[in-house]
Amino acid sequence: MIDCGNQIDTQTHKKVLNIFSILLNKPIQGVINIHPAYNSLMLSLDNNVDILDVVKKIKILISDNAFIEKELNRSIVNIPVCYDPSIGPDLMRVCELNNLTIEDVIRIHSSKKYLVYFIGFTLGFPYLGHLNEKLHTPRLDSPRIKVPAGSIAIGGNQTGIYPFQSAGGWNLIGKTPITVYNKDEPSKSLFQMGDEIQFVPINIDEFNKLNEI
Amino acid sequence: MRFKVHRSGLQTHVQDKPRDGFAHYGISPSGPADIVAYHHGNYLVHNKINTASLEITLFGPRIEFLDAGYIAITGSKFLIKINDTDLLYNRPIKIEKGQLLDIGSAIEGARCYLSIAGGIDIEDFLSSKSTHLETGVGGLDGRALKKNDIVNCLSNIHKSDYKKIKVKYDLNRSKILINKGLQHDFFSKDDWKIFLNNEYTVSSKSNRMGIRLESGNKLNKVNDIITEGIPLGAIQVPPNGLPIISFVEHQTTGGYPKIANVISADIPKLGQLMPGDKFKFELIDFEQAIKHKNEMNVLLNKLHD
Repeated sequence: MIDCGNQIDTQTHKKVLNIFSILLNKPIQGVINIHPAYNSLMLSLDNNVDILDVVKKIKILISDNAFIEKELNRSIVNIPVCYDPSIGPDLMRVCELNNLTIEDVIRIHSSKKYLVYFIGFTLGFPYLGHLNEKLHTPRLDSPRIKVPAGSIAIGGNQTGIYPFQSAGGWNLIGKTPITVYNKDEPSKSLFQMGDEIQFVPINIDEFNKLNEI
Repeated sequence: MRFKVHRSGLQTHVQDKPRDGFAHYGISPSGPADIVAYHHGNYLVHNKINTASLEITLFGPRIEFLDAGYIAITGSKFLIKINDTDLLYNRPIKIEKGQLLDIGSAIEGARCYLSIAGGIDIEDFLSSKSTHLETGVGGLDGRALKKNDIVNCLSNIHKSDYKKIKVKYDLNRSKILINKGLQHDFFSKDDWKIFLNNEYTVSSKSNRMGIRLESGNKLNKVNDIITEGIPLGAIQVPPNGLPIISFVEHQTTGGYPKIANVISADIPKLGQLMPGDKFKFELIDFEQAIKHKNEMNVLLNKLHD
């Protein structure tokens, strides 16, 4: 485990992203998986390697490259979202619990860009920061067994996209008609760790039109 | 060689090597739950290392072989008949066209492996054929086998010699060895006492993602952590105080504190835990864990010959 700080902020994220790209570009033999997160990176190692030896190599690699502050190359990714109770079954719940109208929720949710801190939990699931406090909504008491692919959701103080159908306990407030994640070639997906996502509201007719393509 | 599925069994799916290298895209490696039994099977039928086999769980499939070939079954013992005759374990078996293999209930541990000479022939997904059932990718359309599936295998030139090897399966599942976890100090001395003295029961809600444990003695609630990476074998403690062991299809990240970690050498044993099994955790130090790991590697390296 590589610790990069003790809080969730963009400065810590930059450190994580920097170390992540070092490890990805100069792979260390024996490191088989990298799990970047908000303020840490967890590495898993091959069973056949000398753990202490690999740890030493990682330390050297990171300290050699620590001061090379790479210019971050952030892409801004527009993702169309239809916020509608017919495809966002918890939209009304989010409105009621926060005393907001549907228009308020749409306006607040789509009024800022969200940084993709990392991809985790399940394939292509982006951990996004930072959701406006007015939209914080507790997770569902009992998680859904099937959340449809493309659902946009709010869970506590976080917001995210379910790229594929999966189980999930977050509030579904809308859906994107586009495929956001390339599961066969994840590196060619719409967004990567470190990018920013801008949700663009569309109406149900536009959704249906795009959904047909 | 091809085979047809007449009955799928509880959960029968294709596994080859773990899908390493993609955790940063949110997908855990998956792969065989009992890596020793899996490699043993491929060894017996002269397959190359990491050839795709079937992982069979608790209650097995009924399969008709549409061509002749060789197979081996390794891992836990199940009630198995081939054309109504009992089948021998842990050795290569010649199969004639049209023979029926019926794998019934597990009688020892949770899983066995059916290795077919040549190996199962399906497309790779992110450089592995392993099914990730939770995500619905890899293997055969990301799912377990179902009735009427016809599965193709590659043919290999079978060498009829029988590679003898002694594989000692550790069948004692009453004890699982652990090292301290990253958040071990979140838990009080009393909690550690409960944790190590508890006899835990494997819940029927367990799956390849996580092995859920039950006990009357729950651990005290401790704070969540900032979401971070989760390794295979991590023992997480959610707010209800009942530990979950992350298994081969685990989430790549999570926010529950990790009290301990199952040592690498005991991971294959996790794959044989059956619902209702009772066991205790035993804490050992890091050096001992490495020793156990090296012993396992000696065996695995022999199986890779």
